[in-house]
Amino acid sequence: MSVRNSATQGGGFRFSQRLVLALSGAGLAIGVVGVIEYVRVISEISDPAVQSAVTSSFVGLILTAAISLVLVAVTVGNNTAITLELLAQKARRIEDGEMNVDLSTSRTDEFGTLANSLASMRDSLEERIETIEANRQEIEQRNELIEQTAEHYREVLQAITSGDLSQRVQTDSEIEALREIGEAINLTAETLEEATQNIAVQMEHLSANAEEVAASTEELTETSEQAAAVGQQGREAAQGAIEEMNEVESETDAVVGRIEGLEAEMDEINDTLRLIAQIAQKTNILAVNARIESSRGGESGEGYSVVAEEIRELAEETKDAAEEVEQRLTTLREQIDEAGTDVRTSQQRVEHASHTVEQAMSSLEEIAMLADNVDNNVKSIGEATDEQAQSVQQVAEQVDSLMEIDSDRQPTDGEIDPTVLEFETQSGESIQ
Amino acid sequence: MTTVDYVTAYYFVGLLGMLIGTAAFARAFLTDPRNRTYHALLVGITGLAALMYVFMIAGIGRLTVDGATVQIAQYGQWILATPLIVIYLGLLAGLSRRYIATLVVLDVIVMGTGLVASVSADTTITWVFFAIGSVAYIPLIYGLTIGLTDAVAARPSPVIGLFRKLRNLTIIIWTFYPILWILAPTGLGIITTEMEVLLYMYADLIAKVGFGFIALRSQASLEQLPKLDAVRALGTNPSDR
Repeated sequence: MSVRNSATQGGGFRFSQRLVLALSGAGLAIGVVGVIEYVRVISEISDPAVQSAVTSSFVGLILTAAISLVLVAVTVGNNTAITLELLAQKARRIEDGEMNVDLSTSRTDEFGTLANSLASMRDSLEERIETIEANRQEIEQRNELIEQTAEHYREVLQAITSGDLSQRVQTDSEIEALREIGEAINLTAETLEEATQNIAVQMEHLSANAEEVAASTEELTETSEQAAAVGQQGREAAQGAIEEMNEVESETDAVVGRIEGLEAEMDEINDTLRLIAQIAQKTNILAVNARIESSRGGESGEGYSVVAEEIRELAEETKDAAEEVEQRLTTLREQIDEAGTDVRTSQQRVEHASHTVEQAMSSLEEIAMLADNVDNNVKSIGEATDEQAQSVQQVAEQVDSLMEIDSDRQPTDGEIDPTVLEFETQSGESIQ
Repeated sequence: MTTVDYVTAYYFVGLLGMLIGTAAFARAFLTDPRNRTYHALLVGITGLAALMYVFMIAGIGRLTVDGATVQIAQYGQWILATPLIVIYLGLLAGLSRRYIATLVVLDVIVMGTGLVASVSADTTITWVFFAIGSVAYIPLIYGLTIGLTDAVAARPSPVIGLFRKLRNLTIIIWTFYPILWILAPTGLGIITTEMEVLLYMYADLIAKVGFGFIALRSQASLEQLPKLDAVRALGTNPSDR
């Protein structure tokens, strides 16, 4: 039988060893006293038979004492030592976590008390361990709950990320913080959904606007084309005007030529008039001379003097007429001059007008060019707007499909809707 | 009072003790069916001892060898009862049948050589057999202490405690017997026969009745043993071991 010795504390002897030592000491003491007494008694006895009897008695006494000591040692001492050791073993087993160690005892002495104390200590320890275990399990359950809730949140968030904005998390968690997180998620999802709806509306607006722009640009194209055509017409008209004017100019030039010819004629008439005036003067002088001559001739001359007077009067009249013609010519000349000046002014004006018309024509050309440009630009705008409208249309369709998903979808299924996948690919394309 | 009167008185005291023990153990045997095997062994131990005391009182098996009285019944008691003690200890420790058998054989050798030594008139033979017995006693003690298998450790601790208590008591008390034997007229003759009888009686009472009562008081320990454990160990079910 091997006895575990590990629990022996410090130095010194174990209880059983000390007990053996003490009992051995007692036995030795009894033996020594017995031997001393025996020697003392035996020395006073002379009869060998009595001596033998006394010896036997002493030896018997010592042996009885020794056997009794052994009995004490085994029943009390050994018992105590073994009991202590057993209790120590049980305490060690409790220490090792073996809680079902039997500590029941029928003893009512100190060992019974000790065993009962150990038992109640063990029970209290067990209770505490159970409490700790319960706490641990509670924490574990709580953790599990948190994990489940987190998983649920993750799934819902994934669904929301996949486009199903109608998904909401359950906020019936027992844990305050998780509930708050769940509410925050729901609020976010709601806001997102509203924003998406808003975007859908805005997109429709945008789409309508784009269509309007497209229509406007079309009109604009027509207008600009009309403008170009009108410009062209204007240019042609201007061209005609310029030609007309050129003709006017050449005609005016002819008029000026004729007026100048008229002036030359007038000069010649003037010369003729001066000649007439000279002739009249000379005639007058002749008349005067004839009258003088007639006076010398007497009565025959008297008839001549009357003729000479007549001639002088005619000459006077002719002179007056010539002067009158000259005066009228002068007036006429002035009038012709004025007419020439007027005609030149007109010519200059026509030239100016022609110039202006040319400028107008070039302006019209520019206008036509600008109109062309405008047309081109408007066409580009139209194309751009068409593209934009298409994009907006696409986006609007996507948002619409999104909204359809929202309304079609049942919020509890965790699978990804094929339309969502479609949307994803579409949006992927639209991003590209 | 004569020497014989004292001796007879001692025998009576021993008989009384054995009878009291037997009665107590028999009562336990009847009231506690669970540990019948153990109680039966105790009844056997004290019952045989009581019977032998009766024989000794009646003078049956009394010899006079070399001037000293030798009670064959005393040795008979030892030869028959001590194996039961060994079996009891073996069962308690949960030892194998073979192990217990070996210990019983050694025990019988020890007791048998003591008997031969005491009945032998030749001093040389006496001491030779005593030496053989003493030598056989060494493995017996070894087998009950250091040589124990792990079977004991597998026992519930109260059972281990009881076993160690009984084992220690048995070994220490048994050690007194050869000392007494040497001091008695069978050996050196330092103590008288009546003193020898008295001391043997005292030692017997402790080694058997004391043993039994300690065992009985620890009945709670026995309750922790499997019910059929003891019977099985005895070999009623040979296929088991």
